[in-house]
Amino acid sequence: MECMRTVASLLAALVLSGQAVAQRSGIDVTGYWFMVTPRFGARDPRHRIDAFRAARHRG
Amino acid sequence: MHFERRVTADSVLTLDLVGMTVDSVLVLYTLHSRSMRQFSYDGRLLRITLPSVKEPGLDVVVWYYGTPQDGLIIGSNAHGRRVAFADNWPERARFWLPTVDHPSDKAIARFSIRAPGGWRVVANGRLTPGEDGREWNESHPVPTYTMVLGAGEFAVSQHRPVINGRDTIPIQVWTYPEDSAFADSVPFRRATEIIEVMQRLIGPFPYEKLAHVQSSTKFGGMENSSAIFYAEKPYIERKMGEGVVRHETAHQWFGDAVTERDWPDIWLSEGFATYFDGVIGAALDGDSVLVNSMRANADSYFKSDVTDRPIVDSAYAADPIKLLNANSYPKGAWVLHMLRVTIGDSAFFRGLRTYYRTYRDSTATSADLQRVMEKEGRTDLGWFFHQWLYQPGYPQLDVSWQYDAGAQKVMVGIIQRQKPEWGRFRLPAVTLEFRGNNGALLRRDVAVTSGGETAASFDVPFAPAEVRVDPDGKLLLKVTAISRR
Repeated sequence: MECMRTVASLLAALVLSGQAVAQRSGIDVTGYWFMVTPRFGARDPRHRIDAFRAARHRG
Repeated sequence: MHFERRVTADSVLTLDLVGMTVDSVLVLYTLHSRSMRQFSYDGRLLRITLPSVKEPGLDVVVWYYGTPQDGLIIGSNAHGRRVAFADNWPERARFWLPTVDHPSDKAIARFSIRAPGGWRVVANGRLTPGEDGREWNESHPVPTYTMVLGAGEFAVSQHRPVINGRDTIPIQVWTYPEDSAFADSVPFRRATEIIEVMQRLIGPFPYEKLAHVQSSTKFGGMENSSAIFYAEKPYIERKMGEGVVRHETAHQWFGDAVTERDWPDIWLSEGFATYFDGVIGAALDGDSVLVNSMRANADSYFKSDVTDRPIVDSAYAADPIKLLNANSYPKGAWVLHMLRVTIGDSAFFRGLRTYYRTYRDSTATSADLQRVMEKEGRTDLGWFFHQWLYQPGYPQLDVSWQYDAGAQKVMVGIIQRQKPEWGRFRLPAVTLEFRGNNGALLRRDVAVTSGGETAASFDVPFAPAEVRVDPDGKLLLKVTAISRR
């Protein structure tokens, strides 16, 4: 792997449910929603808003 | 209305996440209720204290950033262009994704991805129009080690789709533009036919599409669910063949859709894919492909340094890389081949179809497979699974024979000569082939017990010049000596 100068700024929304096989703490993760924004520099606060809105709208 | 309280006040969600910086964590426990949560993060584990709620599910949002040390590899491809590829196996998703990074906890996955202009992005599942950027949605639970994205400048060719009931499954080949013609015409020429064989033998393709992707994975091929990644070098050297495509495609059923519940059962993934490489090849090009494949698998296993270890090797549970060995691959394939011989083609494939149908989108253990195959084969297979999965080694046979011309009988003695620590093997039907001069030939099966010496006699109406053991290569064994008394 080459040395990376790129900063990968990653946002993730995790959807959890306690219905399936017990894992750590009796919690089973049933779905992930990853919002991935590779960045050349600082984080962009706008994406935080996107992540939050997307998570709220999950059915 | 009653709500079962599944998350208690002191529940802690623990996620694997290595080397990132976590900004904040938000928990959404109803549509209109949310709270920023306390969390602790030590650079390896993210622990989030959950609120006490009555709803069975919670949404958690984690904001984090960083430069992944592994898992998501951003760099230059072999043609010098910038690319990004995930490479998560076995537990490297945690270097860029906050997950329960273990195959036992499968989940659906959605990726919303921003990438530079001119790049194309591929990930698990179906591409859907996103609000902002490209969004891939895998609606079937998959293990974290197959949750991936790939991004770069790709040529994408559409191969003939697979028809799956009412669904049409797109089959795509994603390559660096320089390697597109080779990929389409050589390794992926029969990409659709390979899936059709698996559908006929096992069951419907488990995902929404299948993309075969040239990538910078450090593995020769990586069976990411619905987006298989292949090492770039064999494309560039024009040395890539179809075998790796058959292997990785078979993984979509075994490994991805039906996932080993824990690492010591990884043969349920790799042994199956290795075997079905040969099975698919035989379906497309004739039985000799499987015969040759199994012979090569036996040679590879015999030469390996893991013959003193069992296939299901709990000692390596914490170090799954060590399980990528000749036990999981070629010996695992042999276990399936011998199971097929033991219970017959019909019960074998019926059993695998049931196994796939039962554990699809979930996880399974060797014991689960045993239960299904015992039911379909209507026989006890405890001895079979024990000796081939939990005992090391393989049978080494000394065979001696003597012909009684007056009685026209051949007396055969078989002694197991393998190391005592490997244990003894029960072989219900070892085929002996008696070959006479002038082309006379007779085959008889002998049951080799796991006790002492096996003795048997057979009516043979000619004087054998030669006796061959397991002439069709149905068993994983070595004949260490064969002598005429």
